[in-house]
Amino acid sequence: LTLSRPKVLITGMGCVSACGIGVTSLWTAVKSGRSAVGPTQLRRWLNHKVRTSAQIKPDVWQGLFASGLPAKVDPFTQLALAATEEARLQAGFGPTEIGGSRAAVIIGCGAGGLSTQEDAFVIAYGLCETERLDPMTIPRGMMSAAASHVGMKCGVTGPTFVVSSACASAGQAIGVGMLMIRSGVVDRVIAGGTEASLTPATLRAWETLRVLTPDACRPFSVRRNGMVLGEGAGILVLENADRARDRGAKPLAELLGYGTSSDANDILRCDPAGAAAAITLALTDAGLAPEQIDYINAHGTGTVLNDRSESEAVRNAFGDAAEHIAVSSTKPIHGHALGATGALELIATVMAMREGCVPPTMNFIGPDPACALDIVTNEPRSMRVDFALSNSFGFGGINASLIVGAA
Amino acid sequence: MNALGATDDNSSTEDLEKRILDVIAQEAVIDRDKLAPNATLESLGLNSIDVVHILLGLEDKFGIYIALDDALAGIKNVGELVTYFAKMLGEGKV
Repeated sequence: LTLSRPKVLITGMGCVSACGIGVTSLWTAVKSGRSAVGPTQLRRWLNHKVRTSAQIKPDVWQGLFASGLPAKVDPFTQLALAATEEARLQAGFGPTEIGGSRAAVIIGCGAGGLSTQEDAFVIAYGLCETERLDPMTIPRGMMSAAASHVGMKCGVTGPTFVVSSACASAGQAIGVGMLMIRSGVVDRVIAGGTEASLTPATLRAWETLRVLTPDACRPFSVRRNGMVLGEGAGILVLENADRARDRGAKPLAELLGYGTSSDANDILRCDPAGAAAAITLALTDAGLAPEQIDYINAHGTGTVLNDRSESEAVRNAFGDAAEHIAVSSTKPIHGHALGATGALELIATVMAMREGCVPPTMNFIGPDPACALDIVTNEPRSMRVDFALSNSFGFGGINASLIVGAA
Repeated sequence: MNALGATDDNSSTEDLEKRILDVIAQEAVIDRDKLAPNATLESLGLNSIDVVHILLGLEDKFGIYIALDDALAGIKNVGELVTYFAKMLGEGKV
């Protein structure tokens, strides 16, 4: 006996990224290959060598504040609030109608309020003239601040928490949200990810790990030499399909499958077996055969190891079907937004499916035999996409794969 | 003159290679004597984190950011590693 489980629909999407405010800004940039990578602006420069990133521009921030964004919360919370507002409006909910006890907020985040923390450290260690620490340092900087503020704004009194699993955070947050709806715990979830970690010390720390490219992010290409950091927030409104139909909502897509796994192997080096397991679990969960997937929005960071490992994982999980699946990474456009990246990329994946257009992998200069997949390079590809998969793999070997289909 | 302020003759190349070997020995904590050109990185137990430390050591000493790319990832022995670094330093990468 198989009990039927509720379907989960995506009824609203919102985002802020280096491409600008809103899903349209992100999708226009992603499908046309217009990169938001440019010179990084920092309040303090340390001994930085890498000076480019996909950073949210000052005029975007000004636009957000002009539309009523609170100034006294950390940027990672501001981004989550702005993305939530767009997603809520698209889903057709009133300001607090989306909330209540049958709603949840589950937000992925890798690092929390780093601006707040770094400012506090500078004061505490006597590195500036100010001596008094902001008494709101703790509540601004805590990882759960974004989820709490989104919940307060929307009147959500159900489960509210942050999922933190490095670059898999948003993928896992969305996956957990789907499971909570299926299990009947809640009817709707404000799910996604947020990250604003382009602070001086954090950027320098990323540099020392030698995963940042000094020139251009070129996933799956020969001569790739690293990733480009980004920032932003992506939020999706997930709903029990029956409840969504009851209120006459227009679904954007169905969230069909979620697979997650852990390599239990190395804190940095990814293991293709773990990533393949997450993909296979997502396929099983969605009830799809490998050959039914048309498009994979890859994690595709542009580091030597990730892209090699992800290619092997896709080949292992899909077998011969891998030959016929279009694959691209949109990170050269919006950067690697870390704990938010899975949400930005799922939004891009949904748009690719809805518009029948697979976005390109930019800066590609030639195939790498270790990444033998059908990479969509430099130009978008018009094609029908019925089912698509989005991968997110994090440091620590945590893997998350999500599958969407037409609603 | 190249990026390091050295002239490009044989003696300066030898000197540069010695300084690179010093950085490798120090950062990867390997006996300088074991760094023979044909010694494989695997036999020395030199993993990717050691390489990151070596790249940071080179940045401290020469002020240069060398990325971890597929060429570097494909290097198998000490001789190739030193030659690669010498080439990158000569080009004054970033």
